[in-house]
Amino acid sequence: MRNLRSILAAPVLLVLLPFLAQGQDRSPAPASDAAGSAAQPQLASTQSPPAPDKAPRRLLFVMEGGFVGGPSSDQLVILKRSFLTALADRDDAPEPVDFGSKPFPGSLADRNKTARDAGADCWVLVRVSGLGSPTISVLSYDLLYNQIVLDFSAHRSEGFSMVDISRERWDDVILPLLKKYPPLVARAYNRGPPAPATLTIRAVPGTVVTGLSPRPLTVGPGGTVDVDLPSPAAYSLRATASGYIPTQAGLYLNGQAELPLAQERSPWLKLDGSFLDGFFPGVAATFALPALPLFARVGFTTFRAGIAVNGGDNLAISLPLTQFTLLLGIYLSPEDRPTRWYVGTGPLLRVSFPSGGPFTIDQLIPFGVQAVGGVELSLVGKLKTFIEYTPGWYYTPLPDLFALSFGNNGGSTFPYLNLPPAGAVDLIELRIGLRYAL
Amino acid sequence: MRALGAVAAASAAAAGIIATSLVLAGCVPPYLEALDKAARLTHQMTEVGSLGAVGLSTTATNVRLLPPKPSSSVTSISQVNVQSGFLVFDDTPGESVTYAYRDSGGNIQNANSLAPLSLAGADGHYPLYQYEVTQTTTTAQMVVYHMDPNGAVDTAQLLTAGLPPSGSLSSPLGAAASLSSFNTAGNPVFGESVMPGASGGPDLFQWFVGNGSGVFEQFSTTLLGTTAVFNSVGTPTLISMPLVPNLLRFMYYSAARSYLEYYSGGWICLDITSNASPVQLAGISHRIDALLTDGDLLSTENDTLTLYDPNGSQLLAMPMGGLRFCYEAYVGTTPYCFFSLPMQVQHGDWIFAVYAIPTSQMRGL
Repeated sequence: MRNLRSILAAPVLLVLLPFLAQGQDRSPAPASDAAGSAAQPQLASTQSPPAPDKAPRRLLFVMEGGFVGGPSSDQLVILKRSFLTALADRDDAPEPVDFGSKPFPGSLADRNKTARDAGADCWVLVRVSGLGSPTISVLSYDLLYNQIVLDFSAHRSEGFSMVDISRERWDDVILPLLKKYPPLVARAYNRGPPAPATLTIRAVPGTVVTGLSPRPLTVGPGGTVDVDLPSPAAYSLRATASGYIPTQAGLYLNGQAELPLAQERSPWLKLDGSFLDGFFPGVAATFALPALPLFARVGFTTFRAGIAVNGGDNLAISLPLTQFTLLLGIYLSPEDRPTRWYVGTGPLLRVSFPSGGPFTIDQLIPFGVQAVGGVELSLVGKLKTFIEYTPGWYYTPLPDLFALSFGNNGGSTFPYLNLPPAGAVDLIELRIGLRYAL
Repeated sequence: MRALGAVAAASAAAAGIIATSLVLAGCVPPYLEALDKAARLTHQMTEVGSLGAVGLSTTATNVRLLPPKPSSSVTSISQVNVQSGFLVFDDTPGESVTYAYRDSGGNIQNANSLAPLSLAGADGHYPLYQYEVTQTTTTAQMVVYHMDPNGAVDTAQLLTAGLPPSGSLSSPLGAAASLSSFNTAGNPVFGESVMPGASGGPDLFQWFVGNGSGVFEQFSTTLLGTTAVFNSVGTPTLISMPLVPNLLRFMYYSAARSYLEYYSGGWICLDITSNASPVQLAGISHRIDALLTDGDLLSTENDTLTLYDPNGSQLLAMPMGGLRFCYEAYVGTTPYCFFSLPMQVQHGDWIFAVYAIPTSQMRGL
């Protein structure tokens, strides 16, 4: 019997006593537990104090039956007890805080709050479905690092043996937990009033970290930067590095000595599918310029198929015309924002494939200049939608024919503003579409 | 709930604004396909004007513009300014002619029309009607020939219209008059051509006249100003060509050299400069539409510009892309070939661009 650190609240203890492994030593939780509170659920603790240089993590433990074919409530109590016993048998295991049989909140925020209120710094939800060939789903969240650390399912071909449940080791769940929740370094761990602790941030060299100190921190060539912070306390930080998507992280500092930042490289290529002026399709490729919020885009719009409101009786329009565009732009918003604004400008070239005629640069409007003001809106993953206002100036060497091309329209060239002999301006142009970052 | 309602209302408003914007922006881009289609030729020409937009019947096809010829006061191509023109088009049940011009307000007016010109009895290989724009003096003028030997028809009608800003279409010849009354022999006319008058002089009309017994004569005549009478020029030249079937419609051209063309399973072009011994030009296999002042022969059959030298050797062939040959006319002392390009635009309207190229540069196309 070694390192049996769990403690069971009296009601649970009464229920589970018949199933406990024989010879285990148990004792009530220390009343002086700093994270404990009146509302704290039943605690499972160890009789043996942790090693002087280590402090165990405090794990809110929740076990639920599966929605279909799960264990009965009595069986669930037995399984829970078995799990806690097995966990208590491991060295350097997190200190379990049993949530009991209350319903566990559904939202992540509520779950985190519940765990914090219970004095835990992490939580795990173990859901058992079926007993004959059970599936064990595990979801665990680390409050110190503000991230989900475990989210998996384990399937067993053999069922639980309730008669011999004391021999169940739960390796498929406990071993990942041990790996994710090693004891904290004691010097950085503090359950008393906040005291300075040194946090080492690991990130890409050159990363600038803001939010933790009055002055931004810059990660050195070795990929680390140290900062002294009062602990325990909650922090939020923002890390920016050239060529990487800015990272925002929440942190509950309470003992962890290091904070590795997960930084994702900025995509260098994005692909667009869009509709110009509502209904003429086009594609484009946007090339990001590393280190700068600049981009270059090449694309084309075909007028071979589309819909227009001023085409006479037919809304469907098909013109053998293609417009190529080159755009240089700059992002006005950081890359990690769900709404990202940008502006740009560049030339456009119109080419024509007239039926029975040669491929040629369009005679009426051979080229122009386009301005773009747009906004990207995050949809899901790397997919975004965007809408752009794209007014353009169009050069025409044939201003008379340009005006005549609008037909008997009362002299109106709407939506174009005719500016002979320089050309014309179209102030009502929109592009909408989807953009995917590779 | 109230907040959710406000969000929903704002979202609906934003969606409405975007949808409205898309509808407003969803307009046809300015684009003239015909312009690009004919670009290979028009690139080498001078655009001398445009006209439109003209509303025609929705069933109008084969629309072409024949602008008035430059008057004698126009001495350089940069002075040519197209403000009006005869519009010829096919429409049920026949061909129609109208006159469009830009009025003092800059608006395009479409004057009364000459319609319909029945196509009954037309031979698909020949134009049943030939439209010859003649020298402009104080009015725009065009002769409409109607020749059909099988129907015993050989008439002409002179149409005149005021130059902009006026443009009323009238017919000094009244109803189409028989050409027989204008030639000394009183014989039917089987073919005609016109050569531009130099330096403001009158155009020279050439008629190919048959007497019904295998004897033909070439007959020259002019129209002076708005005179409603053809004036014979010189003495008719009698020719005898037993190889040419009588009562057949001819394409006929005459200048320094004279040519005759007819269809017999294919186009047969004869050089009849030497009346006694016509020579077939084997190199010519297309319908000839004009004999140019430099002696070259021009064909626009099948929307292809084909140029032959006076001996019938093909010089070039290029797709015209819808460009239409109007006529050859002098600008000052330089003969130019004029072309017009019809383009249909929004609302079914028609617009036209007019191009010119010196005849001497035609071989360089």
